[in-house]
Amino acid sequence: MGTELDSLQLALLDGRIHRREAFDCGEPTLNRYLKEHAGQDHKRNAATPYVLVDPDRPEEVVGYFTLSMIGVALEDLSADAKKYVPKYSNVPAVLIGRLAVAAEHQGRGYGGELLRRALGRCLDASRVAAAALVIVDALNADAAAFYGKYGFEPITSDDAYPKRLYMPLRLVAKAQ
Amino acid sequence: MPSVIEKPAQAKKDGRVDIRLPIETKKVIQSAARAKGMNTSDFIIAAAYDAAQETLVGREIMRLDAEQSRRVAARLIDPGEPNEALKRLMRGGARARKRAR
Repeated sequence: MGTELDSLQLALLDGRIHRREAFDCGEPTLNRYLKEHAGQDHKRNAATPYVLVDPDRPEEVVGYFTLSMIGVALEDLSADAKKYVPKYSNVPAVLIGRLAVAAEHQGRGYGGELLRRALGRCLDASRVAAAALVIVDALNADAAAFYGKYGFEPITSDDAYPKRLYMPLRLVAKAQ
Repeated sequence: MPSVIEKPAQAKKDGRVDIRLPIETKKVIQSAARAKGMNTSDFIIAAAYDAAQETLVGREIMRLDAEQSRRVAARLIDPGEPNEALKRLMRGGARARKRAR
């Protein structure tokens, strides 16, 4: 780890600067989202898209992720659990909906760097407006394994993708 | 993030869907598939799979069933300790910046 990753800058997606149409991570859904929907989702406050760029080439998107706030509704909690988490019947969470690294930059730790910065933003967000969980959507088994390595656990036990995984934000805070 | 992805069209095909559709729609799909150099089923699978992903990713509200709720609540009550990978991830950047100072 070091200077190369640290020198990368995280910025809000700006269609006037960032060349969205050139981004290719190898997954058409994630390419198309950045090109066609990310700007609009940002505008209508549905999700905030962040891009990782090299300051020497600020127009080139090295990777991106999106953040939004979601509610996770728990049901039928035992009386015991309710005693401990009375307010958790609807748990506020930060969702990392999409996270992708351009194909030409893959294998250099950029995915981890994006996740590190995304989790940092999730913690920041939770300090401003409470959130207890961070949720990620994994498109496939490789992505689920990537998140699993850091301690994300699947919400559902089936093998269907996209798969949602979660982690308590307190765990992220402890890791810092 | 790991790149690729077993494309649905390349994976082992052990599922089956029978669809009835208007002949005109079918013709349009067939010409689009030809234009992309794909056979019709692979084209339909790829397009439907993309649409399914887009529908499922980023959903804004989640309802968990009782079992899922129990597991998530347990982990909220006691999140345990972060594993080594998470600690390295979250602390690596800070260490590197400190060194650079």
